[in-house]
Amino acid sequence: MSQNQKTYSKEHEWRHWLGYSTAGLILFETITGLSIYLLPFSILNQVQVVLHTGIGLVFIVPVMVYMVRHWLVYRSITMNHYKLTGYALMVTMVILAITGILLTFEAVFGTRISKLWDLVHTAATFCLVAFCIPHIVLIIIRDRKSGKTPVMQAVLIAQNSWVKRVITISVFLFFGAGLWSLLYIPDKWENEFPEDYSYLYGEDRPFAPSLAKTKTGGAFDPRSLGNSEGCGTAGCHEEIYKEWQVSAHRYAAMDVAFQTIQGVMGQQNGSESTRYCGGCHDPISLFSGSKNIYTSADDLTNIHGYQEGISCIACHSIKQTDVKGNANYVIEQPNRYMYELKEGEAAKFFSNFLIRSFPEYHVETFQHKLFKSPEFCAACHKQFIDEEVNNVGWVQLQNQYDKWRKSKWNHPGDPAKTVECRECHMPLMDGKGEPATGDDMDYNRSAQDGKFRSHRFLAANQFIPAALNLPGAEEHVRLTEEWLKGNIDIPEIRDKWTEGPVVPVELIVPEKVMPGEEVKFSVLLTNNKPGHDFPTGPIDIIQSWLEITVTDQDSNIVFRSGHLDQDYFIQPGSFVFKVEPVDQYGNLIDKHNLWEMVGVRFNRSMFPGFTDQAEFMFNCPADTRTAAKQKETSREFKFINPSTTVTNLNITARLKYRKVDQYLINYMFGKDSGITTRITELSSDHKTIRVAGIKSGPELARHK
Amino acid sequence: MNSKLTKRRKLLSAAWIAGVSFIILLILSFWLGSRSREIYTPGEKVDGLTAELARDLPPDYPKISFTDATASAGIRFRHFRGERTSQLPEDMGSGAAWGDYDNDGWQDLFIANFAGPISLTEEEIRNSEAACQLYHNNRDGTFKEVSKIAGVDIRDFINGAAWADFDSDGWPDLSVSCYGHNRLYRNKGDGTFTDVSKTSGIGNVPGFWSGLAWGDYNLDGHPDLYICGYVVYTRPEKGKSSRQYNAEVPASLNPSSFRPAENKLYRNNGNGTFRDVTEDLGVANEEGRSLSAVWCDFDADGWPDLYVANDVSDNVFYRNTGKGTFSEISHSAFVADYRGAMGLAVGDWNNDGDMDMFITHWIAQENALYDNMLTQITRMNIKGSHEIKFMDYADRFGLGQIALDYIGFGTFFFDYNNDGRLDIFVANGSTFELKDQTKSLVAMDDQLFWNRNDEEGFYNISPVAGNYFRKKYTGRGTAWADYDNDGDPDIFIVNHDGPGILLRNDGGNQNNWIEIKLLSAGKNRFGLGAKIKVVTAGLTQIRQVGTEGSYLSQNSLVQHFGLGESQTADTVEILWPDQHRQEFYQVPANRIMEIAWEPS
Repeated sequence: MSQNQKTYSKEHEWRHWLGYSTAGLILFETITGLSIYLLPFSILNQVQVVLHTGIGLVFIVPVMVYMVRHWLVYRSITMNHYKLTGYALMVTMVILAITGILLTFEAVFGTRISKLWDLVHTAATFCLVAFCIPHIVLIIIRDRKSGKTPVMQAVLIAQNSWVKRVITISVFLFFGAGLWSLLYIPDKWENEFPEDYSYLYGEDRPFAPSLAKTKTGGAFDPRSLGNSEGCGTAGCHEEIYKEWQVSAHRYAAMDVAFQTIQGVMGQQNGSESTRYCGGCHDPISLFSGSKNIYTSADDLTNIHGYQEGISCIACHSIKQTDVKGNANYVIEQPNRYMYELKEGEAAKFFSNFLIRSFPEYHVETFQHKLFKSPEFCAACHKQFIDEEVNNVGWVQLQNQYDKWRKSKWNHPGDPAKTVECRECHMPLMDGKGEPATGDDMDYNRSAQDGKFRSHRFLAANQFIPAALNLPGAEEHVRLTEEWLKGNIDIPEIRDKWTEGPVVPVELIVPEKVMPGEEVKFSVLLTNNKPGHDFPTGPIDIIQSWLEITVTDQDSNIVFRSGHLDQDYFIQPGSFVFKVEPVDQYGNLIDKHNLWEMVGVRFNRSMFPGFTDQAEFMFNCPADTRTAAKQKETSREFKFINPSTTVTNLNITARLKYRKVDQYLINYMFGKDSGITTRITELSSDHKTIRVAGIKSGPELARHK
Repeated sequence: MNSKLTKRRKLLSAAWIAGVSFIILLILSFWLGSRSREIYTPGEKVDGLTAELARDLPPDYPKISFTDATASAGIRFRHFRGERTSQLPEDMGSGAAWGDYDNDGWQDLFIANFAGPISLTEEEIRNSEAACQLYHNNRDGTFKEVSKIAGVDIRDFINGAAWADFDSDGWPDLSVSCYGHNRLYRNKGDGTFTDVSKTSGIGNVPGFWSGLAWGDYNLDGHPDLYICGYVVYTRPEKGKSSRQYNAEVPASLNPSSFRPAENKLYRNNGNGTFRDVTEDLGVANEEGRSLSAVWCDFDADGWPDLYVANDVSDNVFYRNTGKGTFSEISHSAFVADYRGAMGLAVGDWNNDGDMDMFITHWIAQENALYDNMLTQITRMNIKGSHEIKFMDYADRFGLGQIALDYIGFGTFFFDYNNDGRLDIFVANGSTFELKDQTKSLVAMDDQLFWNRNDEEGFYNISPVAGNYFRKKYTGRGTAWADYDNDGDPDIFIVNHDGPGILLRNDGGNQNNWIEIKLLSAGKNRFGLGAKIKVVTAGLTQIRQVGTEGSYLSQNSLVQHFGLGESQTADTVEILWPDQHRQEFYQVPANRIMEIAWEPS
C-alpha cells in the first residue's frame, strides 16, 4: 500500500463530495448526450442540449480537479485493469471536455458545429460508457467479494451512499430539464382560414384550382412559411439569402407583372380563381387564405407573400411533388426550434444556438433528396390550364420539365452525361462560412467540398430585379446578361455541357451578288445551351428577335429588320421567337390573360439542340444613292459621293432578348411612362457580300 | 506470485483488447453510418415523387394479342432505300391504305413508299427499290403483290395514299400524295389503273404534300379531295450545313424553319376532272404546316366539316355552313390545338352520340382527346344554338401524360376487342436522328389503348398485347381493316426506313360483331359520309363512313362494330348523305352486311 492510499482511505474516496458530484454530472451529461444523439427532435431534447452544454461547461473544472486528485491518489498502485480503464476514462474525459468546448464555441460563435468534432464527441461518449461501467462496477463487485471486514463494510456503505448521491444529483438535474420543458410555451400558429373563406371548388380542395396542397389540408399561418430573413442573418445562410433576395423565386409575388395580371384575373373571374397562380407565385398568401372571395386586387397577396414570394421555407418544406406539374405538391408546416419565433436577442441567441448545436433536425426538415430531382422543379415549371380555370378545357402552357426530360441533356442513370436543373441554375459557389456547404448525396459533390448551391437561380429575367430595385439588382442583372450570352462558366459541368453562346447565330450569305439582284440570305440559330426550349417561360410576353442590318461600304442602310421604333415596338415582319395566343374569339391575348387562351396564331421557339433558320431577302442597290435612303447613324463630317457604286454589303445579325414586350409594359405602366424593358444582345454575326460586276467606286473623303 | 502476475497480465490484456476493439468498432460504425446516405442518381425515383396520372392495367383487361403476320401473309415491304441526308421531306412518310380495289369483298392493301434521299436523280428515282406496293388479298390470310400488273408500282417520293371512287364507276380509285406532284390513278375495273393525275388536275401543283382526305363536302355525290401541304421546303445550299455547334437537329429537319405550305381542296366536277376551289372557299390554311385532315359531320347538321391537324401551328376546324362556304371556328370550338399535331383519329369514344377526336403530337407534348360537347349542348336545349365545342380530356382519361415520351404519328379508333367501345392504336416514331448514326432515326414502340369505360377511359395495354409491342420502329402511317374477315380489326403499320408490319388480331372475335359495307347504286358509290348507328342492349354506337383519319393512311371503309355479348344488333340505322334513312332490326351478329341503296 502506498503512502497516498494510507492518507486517503477508500471509504473517504467514495464519500468525497467531488467524487459523487462529478459522477452525478457525468451521468447526467452521458444520458443527455445519448438522448440528443438517439432520440427524436422535441422540446425536452432541445432543453437537454442547452443543459448538456451549460452544465458541461460549468463543471469541466471540478471534473478535471477530481480526475487529477483521483490520479494522485491511485497513480502509484500497480497497473491493473481498474487502473487501465481509469486512464482510459481520463483520456476520454479530456477528449469530451475539449470537443465539448470546441462544439460550444462553434455553436455560439460559428454557423454550425463541425461534423468531425461532433463525431468525436459522440464517440467519446460511448467510450465513456464503455470504460466507466467496468471501472466502477468491477471495483464495487471486487469490494463486495472482499470479505466483511469492518473496513470493507464501511467502504461498502460509502459505495451505497455514493450511488444514491450520484442518482440524486442526476435526477435533480433531469427534474430541472423536465420542468423547463413543461414550462416552455411554444408559439402557436394561427392556422385558420378567414371566417368567410370561399370553398368554391369543394370543401376538400380549399386551394383549388391550384393543385398545391398542405399536409393537413388546412390553412397555414403566413408567418410559418415566411421569415426568410431569419435564415440569412446571424451568420447563417447569409450568402444564400443574399442571392435569393434578388432571385425570381423571391420576387415571384411582388413582380409587377404578376400583381397586375393577378388583379385582372381576380376582377374578371373572381378572386378565388387567382389561387391557380398562387401555388407557384404566391404560396404564402395562398395557404393562409388571402385569395378569398370579395378580396380586392391589392389584397390578394398578403404582406408576407408579397415580400417573400417563394420563401426559403415555402420551397424547402415541400415534401411531395407530382410530375403532373401545375403546383401539384404537398407542403408541410415545419416544426421550429425553441425560441425561434420569440422576440428578443436572448431568444434569437438560444434558437440560433440550438439550430447550430443540434442541426440534424434542421437538416432533416429542410434538406431532402427530392430537391435534387428535376421532378421537384417540375412542380412549378410545367404548366397547363384546365376547365376549372378557363372553361375551355385543357391547354398546355410552358413546360420546361418535359422538354428537358426528352432532350439530349437527360440520360437517366448516367450522371456523367446528364445535366439537371440545379446543375445549371444553381451552380456551386465557394462557401466560406456558409453552413450549407458540402453534400454527399449529390453525384458531383462531396460532404467536404466547401461549396453551396447558388440560390440566385440565374435565368433570363434582366428586367424585374432592377424595376423593383431589389438589393443587389445591379449585380444580378449583370450576371443575368452574362448568363444570357453564355459567358457564365460552370466548372463542375464543363466537361458535359457545351461551349459558346446560349443561342449562337450564323449568317449564311452568298459570296457575291450583282447590283439589282435579289439577295437572299439566312440566319441559323441553335438552341445550344438551354436544357429547355429557347425562349421559354411566358413566351407570350417574352420576345427574342433578330436584328438585321445591311449596309453598303459607306454605312448607308440597305436593309433593316428587327429594329425598334420610337415606341420600342419591334419592326413589323421581323423574325421573332414568341407565341401569340388567342382567345375563343380569335382575339390576341396580349396581357398574359392565359385563362382565355384556346390556341395560338403564331408560335416559334426551339427545342434543346435544335437549329432554326430565318430567311431574309432584299434587292442589292446599284449605287449608294439608292442605299442612302435610310441612314443608320449619321457620321459627322462625312461626305459621300452621291452616286458611288456599291461594292460591298455588310450584314450584321444580332439576336436580342427582352423579358416583357412593350404592349404589356404600356398596359402596366401607361403608354406615356417612357418605360421599356432592358434588351440584351445574346449573340451576333457579321458577313460581307461582295457586289460583283462593277469596279469599286471612288474613295470616300472623310474629314474629322 | 507468478500466477498473480499472470492473472493481472491476463486482465490487463483483456482490458486492452476490449478497449481497443470497442474503439475500433465505434469508429467503424460511425464511418459506416456516415456513408449510409445513397448518392442521388439521375432518373432516380426519389421519396416524395409521385405520378398521379400513371395507371396500372386492371386485371379484367382483354386477353387478346396481335400477331406479326407480315411474312406469313406474304407482305414484303421495306420503306425507303439509301441513306438519309437529313432533310425534312425524307423523314415524314409514308402511309398505307386499305381498300377493296377489285370489289371481291376482301380488303386489299396499298402501301406508299418514299424512293430514297431527295438528292436522288430522276433516273435513280425510277430505279429505286423503294416502290409503292399493291397487295391483292388472296382471301386465305395471304396477299399477292400485284403492283406492277396493276400499274401502281410507283417510284417517287410518295407520302400518303387513299382510295376513293372519284368517278362513281363502282371501282375504288387510288390517290397518292408526294413530295413533288400528287397522283391520281383511275381503277379500270380489270385489276389495272390509269394515271389520270394530269387530266384530272390533281397532280398539277408541286409541293410537300402529306395527308389526303376524301369527302363529299357539297353533297353533290362526287367525292372531293382535300390534300394537306406541309411546308415550303428549300434545300440547304450545297456544301453548307444547316447544323451548327453540333446541333442535334439541323434547320433542314426543323419544320419551323420553313414557311407553311397551302393546302388544296379539289372539287370533283363529276366528269373526271377537279377544280381547285381552295381560295374560293378559304380553306388553304396558309399558316398551318398540315399533315392530316378529316371530313366529318361533327355538328350533325348533315354537312361534312373539315378538321386539319397541323405541326407546330394551330390546328384548324372549318365548319361547313351548308351554303357552299366554310367558316373557320377553330378557336370558338376550342380545337385550335397548337401543339405539333401529326395523326388524327375520329370516332365516338364514349358512345354519347357525337364524333370525338384523338390527335397525336410531338415529343414532350400530351396527345389530345377532344371530346365533342355536341350531345351535352343539345341536351341543354339552347334554342337557336349551333354551338360546337370540344374539350381535351386526354389527361383525365389516360391518354395525356403517357404520350410525353413519344412522337405519335398514325392513329385510329377501332374496337379491337368487340366490346362496343372504341379503343386506340398509335404508331410512334421519332423525328430525332440516332446520336452516333445520324443516317437513321430513333425508333419507338407503338401503343394500344384499351377503352375500359366512360369513367376511367383508356389503359395502355401494349405490354400484354403481343410481342410486336416490345419492338421498336420508326412508325409513321397506320391503318386498320379486317383483312381476314374474321370479325376483328387488324392493323398495318408503315415504319420509316423499316418494314411494313401486318398485325393480325387474334382473339378479338371472341365477342360478337357486325361489319357493314355500304353500296350506293348512284353516285358516291361507297357511301362516303354516310352515318351508321348500331344499337344493342344499352349501347348506341355511331360511325361515319370514311371519316376515321390516321396519318398519310386510310382505314377500311367497311364499318366494324363490336357487339359484346349481344347475339343481335337491335337496330342498324343508315343515314345516307342524301338524308335517306334505312333501318334494320334484330340483325344477327357476326356477319358482314352489305347494305345497298339505289337513289331515285
